[in-house]
Amino acid sequence: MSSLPWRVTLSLAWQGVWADRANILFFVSALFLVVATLTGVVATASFLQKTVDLEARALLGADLRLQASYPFEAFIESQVVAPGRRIDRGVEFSAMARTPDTQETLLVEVRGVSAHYPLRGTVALSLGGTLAAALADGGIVVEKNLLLRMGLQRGDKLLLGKGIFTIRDTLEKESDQVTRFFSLGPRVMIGLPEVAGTQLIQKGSRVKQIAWVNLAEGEALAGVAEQLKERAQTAGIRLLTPSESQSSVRRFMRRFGVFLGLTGLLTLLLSGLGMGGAMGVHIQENRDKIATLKCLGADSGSIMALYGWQTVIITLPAAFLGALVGLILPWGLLSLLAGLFPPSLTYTPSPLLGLVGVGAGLFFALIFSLGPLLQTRKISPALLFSRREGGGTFSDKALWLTVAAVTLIPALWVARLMGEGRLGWMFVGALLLSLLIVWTFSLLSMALLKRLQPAQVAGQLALAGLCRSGGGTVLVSLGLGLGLVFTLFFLSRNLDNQILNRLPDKVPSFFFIDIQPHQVEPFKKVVSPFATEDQSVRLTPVIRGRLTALNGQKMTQHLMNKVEEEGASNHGHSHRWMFTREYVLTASATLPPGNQLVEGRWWQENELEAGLQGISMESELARGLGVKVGDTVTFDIQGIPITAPLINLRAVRWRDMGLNFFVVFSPAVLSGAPLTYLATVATPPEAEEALFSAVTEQFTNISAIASRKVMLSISQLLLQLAQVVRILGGVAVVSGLLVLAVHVAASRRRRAKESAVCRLQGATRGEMLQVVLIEFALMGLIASVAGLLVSHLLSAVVVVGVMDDQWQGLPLWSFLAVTAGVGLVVMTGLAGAYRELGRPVMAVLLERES
Amino acid sequence: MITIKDVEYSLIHDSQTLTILKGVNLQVSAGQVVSLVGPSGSGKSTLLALIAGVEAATGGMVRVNGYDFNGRSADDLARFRRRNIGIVFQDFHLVSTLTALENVALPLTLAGTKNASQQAEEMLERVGLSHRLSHRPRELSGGEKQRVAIARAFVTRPGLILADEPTGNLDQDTSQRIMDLLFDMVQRWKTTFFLVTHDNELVGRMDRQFRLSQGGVVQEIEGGDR
Repeated sequence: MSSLPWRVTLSLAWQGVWADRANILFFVSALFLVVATLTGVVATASFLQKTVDLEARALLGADLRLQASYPFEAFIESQVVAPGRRIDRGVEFSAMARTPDTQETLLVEVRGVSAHYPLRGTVALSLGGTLAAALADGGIVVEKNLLLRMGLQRGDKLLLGKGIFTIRDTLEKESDQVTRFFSLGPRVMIGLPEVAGTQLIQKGSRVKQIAWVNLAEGEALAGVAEQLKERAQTAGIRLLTPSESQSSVRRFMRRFGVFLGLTGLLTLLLSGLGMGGAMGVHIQENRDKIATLKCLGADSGSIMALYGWQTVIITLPAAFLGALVGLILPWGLLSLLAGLFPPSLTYTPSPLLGLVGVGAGLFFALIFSLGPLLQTRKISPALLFSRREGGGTFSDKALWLTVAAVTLIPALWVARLMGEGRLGWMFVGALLLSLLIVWTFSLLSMALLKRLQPAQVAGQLALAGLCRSGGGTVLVSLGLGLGLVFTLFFLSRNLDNQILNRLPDKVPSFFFIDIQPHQVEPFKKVVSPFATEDQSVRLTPVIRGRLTALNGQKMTQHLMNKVEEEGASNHGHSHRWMFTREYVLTASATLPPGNQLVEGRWWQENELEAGLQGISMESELARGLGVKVGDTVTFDIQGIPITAPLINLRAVRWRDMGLNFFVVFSPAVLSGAPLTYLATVATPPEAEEALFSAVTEQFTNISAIASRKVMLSISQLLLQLAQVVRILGGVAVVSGLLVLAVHVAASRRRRAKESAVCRLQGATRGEMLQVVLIEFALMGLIASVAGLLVSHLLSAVVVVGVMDDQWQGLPLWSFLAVTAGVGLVVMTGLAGAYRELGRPVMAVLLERES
Repeated sequence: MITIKDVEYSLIHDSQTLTILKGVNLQVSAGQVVSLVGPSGSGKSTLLALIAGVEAATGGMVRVNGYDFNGRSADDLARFRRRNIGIVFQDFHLVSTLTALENVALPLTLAGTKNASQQAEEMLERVGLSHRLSHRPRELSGGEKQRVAIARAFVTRPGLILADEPTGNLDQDTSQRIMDLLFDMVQRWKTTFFLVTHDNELVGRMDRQFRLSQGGVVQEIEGGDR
């Protein structure tokens, strides 16, 4: 307990803060960074998560949603219809929308709905009318950007296939708008009865049949879903419940959130070191004051209370400011990622989260200050009598342990809570590996430097300064911060170099879909003049289907769980999507270009002539499904089960962005199936518009996807993401530099004394500046090279191990990165130390206590 | 007032035991004015620190005003100090962020005295610094700082004043005035005064004088009585 009245304690605390304000500024800056980053990250993640969670049923448009690539009316009648349930039908497909004069064409996503749509959630129109009224009598409703892109307005006509429609209104808000990330084109809503008139749905067309179901009063959603799931699966129908609606969107948001969170925690780790170090220096600077107070009769409780209050005084304004900036951050993030999220997303800052941010700031400030605060107990008042060391120096090891415990354990816990335990472990593993590399490299470098015996005094003093206690922590903190930024930098350089720069060569200009068999030859004739070379037009037969059985065993929940459990033990992540997704299936007589056979053999001429029934599967898919060469696999294709043995496995380089398939049948398997064709055409960018017009004018049912432009916009999004990541990395470097600044502050007196003594002996100020320059240049060099080692290792692991691509060391960029690192450290160090070198010699030497 | 019996103080340095004080015996009665002299490094300041209760003896007994220091925690000793011992240092050791008045009021505040500020002001007036109440240490001369330190040491009217070479950092004239002030205060409140000094000229003003030799042994110098 404190024996000082609180007013006196507060007054003393405040005066202490003011007196040591330069050092306190480091503490406050580190705390501000932590609170701003963590509040911002949590605000962003929870905002994204809440957006998806709150609208889960509305996103689905009903309590349950069933969808398949074929009409499944019989299934609905037999399995779904029940008293009290409401069922609504719809379709979704892509189509080319045209203006009546056919001057403008645009790929759109059409949704045909009934007058009851949606069963859950709402569709808001700009003019405020109902959707049913807008869709009556040949009306359609479109997304606003369609009007902009096609130069149309309300009341204008729009052609979809053979149908002519009137644009009645624009969509203000649609329930699942939030989750349409990479939509191929704007949404168009038309009345379900009008769909047939477009003649766009033909045999084998890529169309999604949908049934929305609202349950009867009192029916339990989970029970009904469980009951329906297996039967739907068997029938090749996908059942979506609110909890798993938009699972890919949820997964993306969750991972994005976890990534932001973990990067925020890295900032916390580095800032924690900075805060602990700054508080350690503050206590060190106040040793005499503490000893004096103890001599006057202040007990440990009073001293702890005094410095505890001081921590609170300096924490609160920084934490408030940090929380404020953190609450504003999501706006910045949303505008940086403007293309990724729809403009309808509106963010409202939560004052409660702000308060939690302040509370967290206070907690972290006190926990990181705890070590130095406890050290005040060990400061002996006897030091005032004999001028000897009286304790109060805070151990680096204790600080590292505190910071590691405060950051890594919650990191794992949070990641686990969010269902991303593996990501959490990967992060912690990468961090520990980085730590090990930086630590080992720093220790080895310092051990080597200690053995050096420079002839020049400047060199001797610089080495002594670098190798002094505390230097290790600074090197590791700087190395880690720089390592993170370098890793992000080299990852994005590798991505830029190897994926984005290869785009024009690898990615075709267009994907044309829904080409009917009788249109193949006329289509070829139209596109041939545009093709850059003979090989640049590829036509592939496709059909959609779902997996229904493996080795004759129906795809039950049990089987999926069993295979997945085995898969999880092998690889540690879920393969459920492999069982439930709809596959685009193709047939080919030859091994697709760019694919590599890894097991089994490709079918021979004579086998093809004999009508061989076989499947070729992508090797990772086969591994996930737990099947091997010789096993049989059954697909449901338009309601008909097709079974064939697995003949071989292929390795596919998905990164090439060519036309690749998970499953390729031997031609005989799909000979009777209602195939459509998918074509890729490569043409120079300047000829793209003419090719687009030529195809869409002649074939109204064929949809064109401007794949090169889509890939470019995706690459644009990747760059935007990389920018966010770089900003977070920059914050981590600032945290690392704060640790350096704290170290410089800690050695302030020592440096001033050394400089004064040397100058007394005849050293010039320039020579002393040389000492400081050498010390920080060496420090920067060791930290930068350690950071470079970390970044090369981590980026190589990601590029080679995760992305299955070639890693590039980029020697010039590596050199520039190290140079920039050294420059940054020298400038920061010099800024802190320069003032001490300039102080008059006698003023330093005669410096006395008050 | 002060009883020191068979006191030993040793340190472990580079895994070797370094004995600073050995078998020290000393008895000072209430109200006595004593000095301790000895060569540099003989352990004078250490002995003072033991009497102040800021260091713990590694052997023997230290008792001040009947309060046995043995087995007491640092906090117990701090609480004892705030009412019973005032200390004056060579380096002043004022709290740099506080004004002269606040520095002097600090021990009273720690002791829970209600009108601390008023008493501190009276004490500063007594040492001739009524015009410097709101000045901070950096705005004061060496002599003025030591006057503030003396006012702070006496403000709680402790039974014992310890002074560690209080004039070591001052010029001769100022030193003379500071010592006069100290002796004046000691006499006024009949305080026990224990002074560590190199100044042999002060011998005549002492009731008793002790010498500490390099071996850590204390001997009373005969004829030291006034």
